[in-house]
Amino acid sequence: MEYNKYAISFQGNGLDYFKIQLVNMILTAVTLGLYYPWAKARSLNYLYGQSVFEGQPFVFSGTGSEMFKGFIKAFALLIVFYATLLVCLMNKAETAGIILFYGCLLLVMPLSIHGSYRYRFAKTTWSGIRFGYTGNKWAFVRLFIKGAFFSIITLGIYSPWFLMNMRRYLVCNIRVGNARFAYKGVGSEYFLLMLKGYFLTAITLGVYFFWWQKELFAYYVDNMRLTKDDETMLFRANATGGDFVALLIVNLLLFIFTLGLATPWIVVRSLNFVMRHMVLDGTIEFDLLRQEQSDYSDATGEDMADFFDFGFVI
Amino acid sequence: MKHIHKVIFFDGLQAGGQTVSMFFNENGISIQQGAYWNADEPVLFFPYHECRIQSLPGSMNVFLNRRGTQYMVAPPGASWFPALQMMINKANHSIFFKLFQLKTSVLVALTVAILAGAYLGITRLIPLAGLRLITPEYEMQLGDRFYKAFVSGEAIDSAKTAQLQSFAKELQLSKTYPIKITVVKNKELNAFAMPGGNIVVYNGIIRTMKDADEMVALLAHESAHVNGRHSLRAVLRSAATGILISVVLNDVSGILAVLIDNADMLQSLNYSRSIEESADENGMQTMLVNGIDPAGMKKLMLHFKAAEAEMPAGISFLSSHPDTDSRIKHADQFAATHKNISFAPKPSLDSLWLQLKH
Repeated sequence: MEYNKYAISFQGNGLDYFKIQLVNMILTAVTLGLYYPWAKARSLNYLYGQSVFEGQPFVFSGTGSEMFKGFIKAFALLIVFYATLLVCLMNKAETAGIILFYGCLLLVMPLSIHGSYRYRFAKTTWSGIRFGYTGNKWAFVRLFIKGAFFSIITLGIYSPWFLMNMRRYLVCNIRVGNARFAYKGVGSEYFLLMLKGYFLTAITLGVYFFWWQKELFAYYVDNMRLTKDDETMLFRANATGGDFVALLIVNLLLFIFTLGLATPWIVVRSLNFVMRHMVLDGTIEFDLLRQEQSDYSDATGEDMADFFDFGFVI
Repeated sequence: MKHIHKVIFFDGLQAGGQTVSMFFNENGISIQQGAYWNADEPVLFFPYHECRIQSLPGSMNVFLNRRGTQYMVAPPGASWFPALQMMINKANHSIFFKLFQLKTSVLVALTVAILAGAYLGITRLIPLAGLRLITPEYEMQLGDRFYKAFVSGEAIDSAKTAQLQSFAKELQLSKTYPIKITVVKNKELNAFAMPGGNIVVYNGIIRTMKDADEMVALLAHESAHVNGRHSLRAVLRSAATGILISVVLNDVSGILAVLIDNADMLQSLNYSRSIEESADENGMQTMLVNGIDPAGMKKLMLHFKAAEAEMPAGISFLSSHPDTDSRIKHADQFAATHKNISFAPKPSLDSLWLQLKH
């Protein structure tokens, strides 16, 4: 087995992304917002396409019409949800309404995350090989409800464990062809990291914040790995606290002094930063990855996640 | 004789690329495994409308299906590539692509024009529709709710409230709305109108005033806000901006939200200025109708100006009664054009005023 080192790079530039956003904005405004799913597809298409690994770009092959259909379904669900809630409130059944509201939220959030992962990864390819997410819907719902419950009754102290359990489940179910990702971060370590971060940031009047971000980034990246048969690839973060100072302060200044107009450049800078500071080393021969994951085109979860604005975070 | 080219092909079965033979004509792209074209071997055919070009620094990728699983990479600087590019672009003329070909400056101008149009359209249309849909009766109900919420936290001077109410009864202030007055115990110089006819006057302002015509000016000004449905207009306007940001421009967030917020703040300042000016003007008309000298408006404003001078500059700059000087000038001009009218004394109003001052 040959041992290799790989890097990912992001080659996009702010001007191109800015132009894409402008065209998206024009078409979204002219169509009274209906263009939004297509606009999102264009943006993702660009950002994925400019991310290059081993000389080959990533591809986002989701389409506006898929996401539009998902948008309609998600919207219909929301209407039903609010209508039921309204009926409860009008009939003075406030308690039932509130229970229904939080119950649905507890169900809808994990289902949206699940749906969004399925769609996003099925629509991601590299070198012609599809990614995939193989998590079980109800297993994830159980995990989510349990985590949310303990987080609430411990007043948030449990939430680092919740977040790590969730991340472990999600990442461990991501595939690319016949290789699988894994994550081995655990709640106790993450809890200490958060505690130390809060504490030192307060003591140093915020200066430590950048080093805290560096540690969090490293904790995300260093605990990731990719395995295929008996071959393994480790992820390593090599950003320093100083790198984070440069990234975040320049981003902030860019945002302030352009009244937000520099957002596309900020996105490009940040993606570039994340990818530049991640290396992979190990023995997987990427040329031999086989197509194994199936396609999946239902974007309801993706759009639902958009409504709730969780964003898409690994 | 067709031209065969060598390209790297990714077949969507395994990750590594392989060198294959390729040719293209007006119908699409044909690919065959192996370095030489063999007419007897199977051929993969890809129509242009399924293809998409992606240029990366140093390489040109041609995706052969919409799923992103099969694609080929052209060697850098291949002489045949522009011809292929033209074929593919011809089959894929989307509006997005056409717009994307425009210069950045043109796109910026277009975006600004459309946004400005949408902004003006929506911030005008929604208030217009809202003002038609919301009847004065409903407005009064709404105003009562605001009023109840407001008075619950204030100390009301009920004696002065009754006196000022009878003072207002002597005047013709509104045809549509019942004008109800509340005097609040507060030293500040302030008074404001709520939708539907409630007017709140701080007793600080009563103490500062000298003559009855100043109070008439104040009530006339506030009634003009009520009659012009100004607070309803303002609420509808900000709702319209909210709708614009959240629905129409949804996620294209960062830039737009900030731009619109800024534009809206300037607009609101401008708007409240124009509203105050129109309330002054209509207020002075009301004074004339009631046979009161409009010069009282100027006297009223001078009190506000004196109070403003004591305020720190930061507060008065963005206050809701902007530009006192220009308003005073306007009131002065208005009064000057009616100088020759003689205004009959109003003994009943004056005696009510004297009660109020005690």
